[in-house]
Amino acid sequence: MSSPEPEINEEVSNSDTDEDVPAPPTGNSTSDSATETTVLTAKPTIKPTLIRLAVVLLATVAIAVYFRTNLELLGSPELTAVASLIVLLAGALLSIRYLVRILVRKKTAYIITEASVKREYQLFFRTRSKAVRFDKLRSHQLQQNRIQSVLGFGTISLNKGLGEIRLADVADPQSVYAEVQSCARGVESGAE
Amino acid sequence: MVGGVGSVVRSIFDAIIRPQRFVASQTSSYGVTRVEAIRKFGSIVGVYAVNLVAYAIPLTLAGFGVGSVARQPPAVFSRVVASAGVTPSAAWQLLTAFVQNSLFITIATVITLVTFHIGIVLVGKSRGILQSTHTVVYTTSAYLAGIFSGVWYLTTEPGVRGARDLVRNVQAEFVYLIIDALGAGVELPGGRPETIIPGNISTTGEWILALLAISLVYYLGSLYFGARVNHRAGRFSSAVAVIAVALSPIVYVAGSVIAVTI
Repeated sequence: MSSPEPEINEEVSNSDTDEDVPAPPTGNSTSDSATETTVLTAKPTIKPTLIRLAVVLLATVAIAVYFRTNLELLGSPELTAVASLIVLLAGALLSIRYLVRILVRKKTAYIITEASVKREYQLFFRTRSKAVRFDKLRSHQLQQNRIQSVLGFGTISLNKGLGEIRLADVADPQSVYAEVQSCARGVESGAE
Repeated sequence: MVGGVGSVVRSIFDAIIRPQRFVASQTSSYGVTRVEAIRKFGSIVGVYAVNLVAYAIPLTLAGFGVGSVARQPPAVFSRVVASAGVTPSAAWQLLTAFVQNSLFITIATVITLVTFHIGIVLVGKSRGILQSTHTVVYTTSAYLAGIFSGVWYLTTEPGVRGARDLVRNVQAEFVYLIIDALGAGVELPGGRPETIIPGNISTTGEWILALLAISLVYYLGSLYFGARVNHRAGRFSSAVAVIAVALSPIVYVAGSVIAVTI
């Protein structure tokens, strides 16, 4: 399961609830304001989620078939049938969850400007945007789980525990993380 | 109106597909000032009240808890209700049934809140009672209400006798486990079940049992996510909080057995 993502109040994304914001600029074009230049635009990959989805589907089918072919496994055919139903329901719910995640990830963009990091996606005619300005950045870290390490992806967490923004399943995470660190240092030295 | 419907749809979607988002609270805005904390508490209680009404009213209108013998309402109630053109005895029956239907889940909610918060406090991860209240209100409003509704359905509907007997036998066996562990000579009204697994369970009964099991997993899982998100507790600390809630039936039954035998 992914880490939870509570909503935050931030200067760029200035609402607790959904609000319509303009669609993000594409590519490395100049910015949404005169003072912010887009440094990097990245999109999350869906490969790790596809792998998880495949594992869930295979495991669900395998366990359900095993229950159906061993009806006395839990003491009675009825109990085994109930257990099989539970596995099928759980598998279906997890699969839907991963399919939704795939849909959202395909519509998501991570935009790093000189002043902020933004995560934005558009779905069903609504745009959801969440950002943190570098002058409000208190922590950042790069994490790679086993699947991500093998596939060369990673997750960058910003302000963990303080209204976190996660750039999940980013390709070439070391480069993206280096850009984040560089921009954060730039803002710090500018402030000094 | 469209926004309101959309919000409800999103809530249902989150409750089923993204439970950690469903129970997540605006932790950064809780307790900033005392006035804000009180306002947030009122908001949470309001959410619970609305969900409680949404749960209890359909049950009441379906006849659950409505006595077959008409009870005489208090005189003041009769005067007020009669002035609005409503039959006092019928209104009183509905009101008492509504209170009864609300009472069980409210007691369960309070027990969940107390045990969950004690668990979080014991592991030193509490960020305040508001975070626990938010977690428990949303968890019980969705998943515990689902469990109660499933059990009500099994209790009253025809064609699910096998599933009903299974649930009753499991409950009775659970109580007898505690009675035997305490060495108390207490007997339940229905006696000790001869077997846990009854005869045939219909397809409908199998589905209800499966949905009950899934609801129970969601109930405990959402408490875990609530501890992780709202109290920013680690995996072990969150698990402890959930175990505290899961142990509460044992504490409740053991306390009842001891109280009876004293």
